[in-house]
Amino acid sequence: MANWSPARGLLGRLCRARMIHTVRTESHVTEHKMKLSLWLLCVGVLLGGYNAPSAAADDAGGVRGWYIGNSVGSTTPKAKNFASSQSWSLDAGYRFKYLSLELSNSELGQFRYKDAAAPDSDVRVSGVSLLAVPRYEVNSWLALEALHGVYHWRRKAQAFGVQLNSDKGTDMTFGAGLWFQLKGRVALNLRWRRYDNSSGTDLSQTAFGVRYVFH
Amino acid sequence: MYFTNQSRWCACALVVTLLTACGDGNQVVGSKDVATSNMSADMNVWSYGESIIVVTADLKSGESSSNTHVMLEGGDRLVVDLNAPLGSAGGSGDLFDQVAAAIAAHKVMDGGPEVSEGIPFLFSDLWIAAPYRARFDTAKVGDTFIVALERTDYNDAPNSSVVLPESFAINSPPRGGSVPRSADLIISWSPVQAATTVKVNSAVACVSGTSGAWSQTLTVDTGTVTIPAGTFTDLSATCELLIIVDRTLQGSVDPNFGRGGTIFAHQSRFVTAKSVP
Repeated sequence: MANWSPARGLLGRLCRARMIHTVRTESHVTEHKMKLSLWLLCVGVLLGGYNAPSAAADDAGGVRGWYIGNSVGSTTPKAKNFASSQSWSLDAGYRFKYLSLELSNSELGQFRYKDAAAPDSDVRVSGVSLLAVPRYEVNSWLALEALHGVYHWRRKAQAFGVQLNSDKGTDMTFGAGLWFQLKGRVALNLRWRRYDNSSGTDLSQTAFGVRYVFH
Repeated sequence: MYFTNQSRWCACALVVTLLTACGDGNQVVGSKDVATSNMSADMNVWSYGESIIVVTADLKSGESSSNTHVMLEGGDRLVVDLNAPLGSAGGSGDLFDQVAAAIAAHKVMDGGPEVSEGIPFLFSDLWIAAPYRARFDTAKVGDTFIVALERTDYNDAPNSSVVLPESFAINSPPRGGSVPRSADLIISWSPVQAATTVKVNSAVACVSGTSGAWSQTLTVDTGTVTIPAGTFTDLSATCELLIIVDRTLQGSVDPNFGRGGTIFAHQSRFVTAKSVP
């Protein structure tokens, strides 16, 4: 088993700094949820090393069972003149031997128009995704993941604070990721995902998450 | 010091404008003291042949002839929409495109000097005379400009509108050519748009300091006008000739402006030439 203490120490410092630093977003609701998500993520990371080792510790990469977690990241729209946005998600899934099934409720972001003369102009996208996550376990603590599924999105657009339109739909999502199994029941993951055609444009998300596995 | 011919014209235009703007005892009052029903508005949409279009507005307490200008304050503002009010913008399809389109078609009229970038300095009087301005870089002929006065304590005036007339080009005299003052000067442009009003202004300025001016308004656009021979007298040697052709369409002013006003859309073109004896 790899020694993760230095990594946890670094992550802990990052998390504490992150907690102090206010997450700046236009929406107070989004800010609140984002901060909550960060808190959950950080608490998960910090507690990871203190969880009692389980019987599956020697086979950590192959842990099976239900898991929950959350992720924070950044999402970039393909559409020109729109800024990237912070994003977050709450996830739950089940790990089979070579495959996981995962359900996520995600706020992909509030993508602001990059023009100071156009305040309160953005598109906000959120939704639920169902993913199949086949994986290749490199060793006891590292697994490579492929992501493929569907994303049911909702979107709202406003310009100068005036509501323009809202819509919803279902499109494909895919991506890839890394699963780092920490000692015990906690794991970290790093993922890149593409959301095809959500709100009429492609969205690319890079996210860092923490998982708690009930095995 | 060396002055180009164009800079002499620009300087003349600026001086005339400054004299007009500063020498008539103008006063300014805050909008919180003026109800919309006691206000008039003079609004203009200007196009100079490029894709740049500037919308200007001047609000006054009382009639248009009043010298008391209204300064918007306390959340009052002027906005201008292209073809449709913001709330009805959008449509179907890509939401990101809808937002971008809505932003391109909706401007708050708080533009500063930057709105004049790329516009001939000859028309700089617009920026002095009208305190509220906005610029569109994507508007086109036939578009409708809707100017809305939004107020916090009084009635809004949301629907003053005008249509941008057709573009045109001056065919004669040729730019930089020589024009004898002893002969009729035919000014022509195309294409014509019969339903519009055309005003032709012409001025001559000489190095010696002498000058002359001539103007004519056509209530029906015929595409041509003639300055008779001998119109400019008491001039000597070769002088600079400036001709401005201004095609206008009049729109409708929101009736909530209790003291009326005007709204015009202009297509303005100019040409300079040498005026010889």
